[in-house]
Amino acid sequence: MNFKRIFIYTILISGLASCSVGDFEDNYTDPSKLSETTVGKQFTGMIMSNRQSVLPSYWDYFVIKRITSNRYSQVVGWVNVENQYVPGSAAVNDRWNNFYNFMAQYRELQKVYNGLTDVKKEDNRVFMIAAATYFYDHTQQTVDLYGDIPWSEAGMLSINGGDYSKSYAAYDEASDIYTKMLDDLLGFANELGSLQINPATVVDFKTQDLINNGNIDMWKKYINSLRLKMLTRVSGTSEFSARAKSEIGAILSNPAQYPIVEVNDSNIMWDIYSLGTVIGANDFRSGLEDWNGNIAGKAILNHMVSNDDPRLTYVFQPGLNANGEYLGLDPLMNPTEQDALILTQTLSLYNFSTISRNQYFPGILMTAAEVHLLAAEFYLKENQDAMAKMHFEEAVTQSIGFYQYLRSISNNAESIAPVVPTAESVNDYLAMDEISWDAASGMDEKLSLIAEQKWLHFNVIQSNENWHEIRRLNKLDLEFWVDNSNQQNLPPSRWMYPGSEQTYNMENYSVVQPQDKLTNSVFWDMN
Amino acid sequence: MDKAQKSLGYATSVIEADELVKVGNTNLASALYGKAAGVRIQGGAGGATSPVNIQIRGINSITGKSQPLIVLDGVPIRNEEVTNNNYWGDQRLRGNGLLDINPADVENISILKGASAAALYGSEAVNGVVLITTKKGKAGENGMQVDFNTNFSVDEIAYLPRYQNVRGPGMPSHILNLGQAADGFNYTADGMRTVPNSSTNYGPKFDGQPMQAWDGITRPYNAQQDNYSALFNNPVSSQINISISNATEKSNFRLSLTRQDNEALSLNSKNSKNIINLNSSYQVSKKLTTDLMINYINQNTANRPYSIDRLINNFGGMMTRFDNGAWYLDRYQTSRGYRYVTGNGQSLTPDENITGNGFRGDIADYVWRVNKNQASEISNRVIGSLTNTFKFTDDLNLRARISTDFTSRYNESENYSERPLAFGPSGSFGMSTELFSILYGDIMLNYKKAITEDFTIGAMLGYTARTENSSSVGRSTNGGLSTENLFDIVASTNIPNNSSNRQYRTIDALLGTVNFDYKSIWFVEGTIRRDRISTMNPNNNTFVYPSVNTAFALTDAFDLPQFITFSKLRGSWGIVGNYPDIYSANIAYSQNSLGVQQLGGSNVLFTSLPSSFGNDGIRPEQKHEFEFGLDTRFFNNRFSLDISYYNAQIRDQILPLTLPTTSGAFSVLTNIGTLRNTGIEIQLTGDIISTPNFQWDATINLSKISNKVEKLANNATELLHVDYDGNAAQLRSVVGRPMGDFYARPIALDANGNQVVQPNGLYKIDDQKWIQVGNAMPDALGGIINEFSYKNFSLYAVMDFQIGGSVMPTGINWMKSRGLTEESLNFMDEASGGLAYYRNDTGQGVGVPHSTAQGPNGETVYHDGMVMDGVVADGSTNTNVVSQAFYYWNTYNWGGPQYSQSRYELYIQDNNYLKMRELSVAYTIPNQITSKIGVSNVNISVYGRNLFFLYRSIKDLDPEVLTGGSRWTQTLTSAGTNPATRTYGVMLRARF
Repeated sequence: MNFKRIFIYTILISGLASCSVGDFEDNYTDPSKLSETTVGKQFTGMIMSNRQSVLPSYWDYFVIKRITSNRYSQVVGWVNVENQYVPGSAAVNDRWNNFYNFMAQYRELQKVYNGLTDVKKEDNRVFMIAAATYFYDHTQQTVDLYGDIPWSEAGMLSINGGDYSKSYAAYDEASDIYTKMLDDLLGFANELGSLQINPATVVDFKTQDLINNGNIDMWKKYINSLRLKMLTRVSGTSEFSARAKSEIGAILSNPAQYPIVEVNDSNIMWDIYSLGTVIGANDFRSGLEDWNGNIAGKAILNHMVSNDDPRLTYVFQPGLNANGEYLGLDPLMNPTEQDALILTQTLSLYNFSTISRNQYFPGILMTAAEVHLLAAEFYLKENQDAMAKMHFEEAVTQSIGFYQYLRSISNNAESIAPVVPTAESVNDYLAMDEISWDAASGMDEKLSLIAEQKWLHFNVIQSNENWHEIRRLNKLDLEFWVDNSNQQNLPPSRWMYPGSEQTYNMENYSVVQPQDKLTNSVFWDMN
Repeated sequence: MDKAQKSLGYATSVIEADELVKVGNTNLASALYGKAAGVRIQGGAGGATSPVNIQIRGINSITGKSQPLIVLDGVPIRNEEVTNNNYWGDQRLRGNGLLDINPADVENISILKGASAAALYGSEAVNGVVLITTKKGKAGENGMQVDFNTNFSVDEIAYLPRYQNVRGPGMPSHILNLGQAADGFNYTADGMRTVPNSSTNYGPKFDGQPMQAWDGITRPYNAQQDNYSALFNNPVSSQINISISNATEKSNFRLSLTRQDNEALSLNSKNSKNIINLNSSYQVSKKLTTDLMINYINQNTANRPYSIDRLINNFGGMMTRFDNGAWYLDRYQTSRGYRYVTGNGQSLTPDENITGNGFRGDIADYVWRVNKNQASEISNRVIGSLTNTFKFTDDLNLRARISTDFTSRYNESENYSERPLAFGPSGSFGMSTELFSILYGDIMLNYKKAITEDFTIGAMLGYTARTENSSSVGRSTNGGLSTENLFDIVASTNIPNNSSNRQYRTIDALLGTVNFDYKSIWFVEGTIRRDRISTMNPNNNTFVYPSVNTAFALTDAFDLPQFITFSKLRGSWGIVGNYPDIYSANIAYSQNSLGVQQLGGSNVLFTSLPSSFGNDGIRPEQKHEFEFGLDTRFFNNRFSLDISYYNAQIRDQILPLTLPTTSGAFSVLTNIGTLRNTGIEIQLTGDIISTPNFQWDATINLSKISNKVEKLANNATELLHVDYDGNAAQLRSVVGRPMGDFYARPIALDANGNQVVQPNGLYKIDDQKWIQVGNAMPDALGGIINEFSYKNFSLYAVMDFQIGGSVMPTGINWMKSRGLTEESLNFMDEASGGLAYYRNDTGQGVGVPHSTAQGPNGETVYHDGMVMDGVVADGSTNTNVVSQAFYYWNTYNWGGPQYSQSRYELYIQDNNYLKMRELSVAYTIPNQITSKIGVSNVNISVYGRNLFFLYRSIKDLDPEVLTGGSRWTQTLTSAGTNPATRTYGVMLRARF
């Protein structure tokens, strides 16, 4: 053994073991992740991040709607329990966090877009219009639950380069958020009419667009229908009433320039194209059915039964031991009797095949029935009764068609076959005393008809929208059990902010803290 | 005392081979309970394949890794982290790499605790270092020496909750109408007594009369006392080890072979290991020595223990008191071998369908899975190192070492078809391979020179580098097996699933030390290290940190009283750097594919940014620690006392700062935490009695740890770790407090501070407030070791204890809500403190004397009443008497205020215990007898492990079953791993 050998050993060993600068650089990044993305991919990612609020999910139904909107709108029957009118903290936190994660993905899309050259920006403009529309739709949903929210400065962590100290977001006033959204959507409605989209973007947009499959006309309809919805929502406030009147008028009188969703074929929905993708299995079943969350409320069921509503056998089904009889749960019964009644399995349930066990149930964003009801309200208030009636009846017809559509795409046949509506049964329904437009006298009664049809149409499948409109219109005389154990003894007017804001965003939260009460109304709620 | 020990300026604990093997522990770590001051061991339930956590001097990271670095004969080895508390992610209990080290091959373990000790080992030493030295070759009397030992042991299920044996399933009819007759029993249509359809156990008392169970069989209505243990094995384990060693002037070697067969409680779970350990050293020339160590572990694991999460943390899986695991073992499969079918479900054998009340689908599902979902693992691990030491001169040598720790694992899963193919495909097959490797090398130049007679200096310069790779590739069937029970990918109904994963990490370091020694009285050593690591931004991935330590031999320097044999003062100060977890600093998009989403469409790809934000500018965290110690031995080493005080501050703690989600993420990786751990460690040893025939040696060690979160961000006052059960409880770390505060919802108070009782008679839970209930960090822990010997007999006992450290075993508390445990019997009748009452027409309970026959309007009088102490809404004192069944059912239920009226504050309890960990009685056959057959040192012993508690504050479980993962937040709440066990064994040791 000599020095040479030792030397060779040493070189060999250190050669094997020593590391190059390149190793450190390569191993810094996760090989399965990407350092860059494209506008298209992030656009779809943004839509995906919000899927649990759009496609029926266990989380949205069981954790959130089961104890909030479903009850506040009495579309379900439930066993009364102490403190039931305080929105659960898990629900309030989760809904909030989900929205802001969605917003973070939207901000990331903006960041990617803003990093493009001007030419590229022009190419990708259509993505940004679609993204903003979709984002605004869900912003409205969130504002209508909470009131003022952090918005214009929110979700900026990535744009601020990870500097969290700059990213604590202040609250925007709800009406300012509406103003900004309405301004932008008006701009989009005009811009999209003349937007030139280059052929490469057309292909990319068609692939990435999970909502309208790249159909620009559908996006126009979505934008204008959304405007109609937002304008109607704020139309009762002094700040917006004039604007609402003129803009709704402009939309409804200019179908060529401002097309809207008029028939079920142009409903704006996130369709389930195939099962078994990473979108995840539809867990509507456990979301709605667990803990008896799918029991029919007495008021809504009685309305449908007593008026021979053609939607009845699509929306509900009799209980297992009910011998085909429909029975809803009375909210004013005492809890022990309610419990006992549930155990008898005679209460009616939301239809398994149309709704909870329908694995192809779409994510609903805008339907023709809703749009027609908005139009009917506008014409009613404009004293154009014939137009109002036409839209009202069209809304009912479209709603019936919509439930038929939902059943037709279902892959579940556990519920008994529905009674298929005929032109005659629809007309009979429209002629019922409680339904008929002509039988109602005066603005107030007719507005009640609209309110009831919204309630019937939205029922449990769009119960947040239901609760918003019930609060705004205040025409349904729903009776609630009074909970004497809590100072919130009836349904609230809004949700509280989640505890995380108070803990982690104290400085900004303190500004809105005085208004953070369940009894405070959202600004558009004039009742 | 050898010089190396004398010169040490920081605390170490050394555990010798002898103490590791006395009770046949299957792995090293679980042999360390109570044996070293400041070291906390937490072994997961489930047997030999379950992970063991080691914590040295508390927890050094608020959210990060807290396991020490394991170094085997100078080279770092793999010891991965595990997560066993996520049932839906993984149903089987995984182990860590430390389990593979065989105690029989270990010469000693030395535990380096402080920052100063870490200079040689780098950043991972921030959590301490466990240095394992394997046995070297030794010559026997006639050259070759052969050692033999074998043991055999049985485990039994232990420390189950104290189940009640008084009442069966059901509820009083005035609480819940389950269709009970007037006598409280349910009856079938033909008048047979049958169990009600309920998971609660507040039903009629057991009376031994016939009762029909869910399987249709009528049995006497008696409590099924051991019903739960019937779901588990009676595991038997054995171990044989033979080693051969020899040493000559030029070389030495030791070769050892071990066979371990370990069964676990979980049915069909078995682990077999073959371990070969070779340790050799050869002096090639006067100047060159070559050491070779090879450790080969071949392992075959059939069915790692199946998590019992669904039986503990889930009402649907809680076995009632009139139900039995044995009944499920009979009925989990049909006569044709398919999964049981309930109700009117499709089946080839419809008359076997289970239709009776009281059937718990989750238990049957567990029994099906544990029997019919088979998973096997074959793993081969090689840990090898080659070391060359070249002596240039007597003063200067160069040591170069290269080592690898390489594991290849092949996994297969075979899930049997659950139903006939005609009813749709079921079952599955999966296969995957995993590779883990660590390649390590170091080169060190050592210099030592006596400058004068009194003064010696030394220096060392070195470089170490390490790369760690792991990868896995797997395929599995999709949509069931297209041929029943054909276990291969070809049986996949749809296009097979596939998965892959890769991780790479690179670390290197330059290091140097300088030391001097004055007359062997005063020693000083200084070190400096420069680390570079790939988990940091490449532009800023190096960090330099120093340390110094010194030792001063008081007995050599001064004239101390005679009875002090030796006394040494030591002190050290050092910094260790620590780095982010792999890939956590880098910010990157996740991408996934949705496939085609429209007619004629293309594949849709999408990206998203993670909600935990990284940070490219992250800096290394720094642990600054100083420590002082005094090591003193008395009366010729008969007694000794070792005390250490340490104070460590971890600055720039890398942790995910919780953000309001309105900022754009749930958390962002930041350098914002400061954490301080201070503590005192004391170890006392003594040969208390030392006569020729009788000896008593005792060791007591104790460590007191206090931990404090000193700072979070600019304004942040707390960090949320976990939210439990929909806002029912939370685990947080709050500035100014030890980390790990448990918070729960309090009882609502009115304006005058009175507790508010709701109209239903239960306390109102305040869903707007939180109260701090406990803290997860233990205050003190330690061990007591006694060894007695009388002539050839010896008795060895190890106890370990813990004081403080709250846990929240939710599943065990939920059992109270179902009336399963003894506590739920309180107030059930007059004898157990229940009040008498009747229900008035508004449903309020009105208290009456027990002698009352009936209420004023003929109402029934009940005797199981309780009254909550508080006021009702109008401010008047609550008088509403409620049934104790109603109280327990609701108070220990699942969920936050949104879901229930559970009081999670009652679930959180301090975990104090003193446990008899190891006990062994041994007899050594005198050598003059055995030497006639050429054998020496023959020792026969009987032993036990985890035998009993001398004291415990939590009575319904062994707190160690809560060890659901490697990080501290995973060891607090879930009892759904596996039941605890008690072990008895016999052992034989001999030398040839």
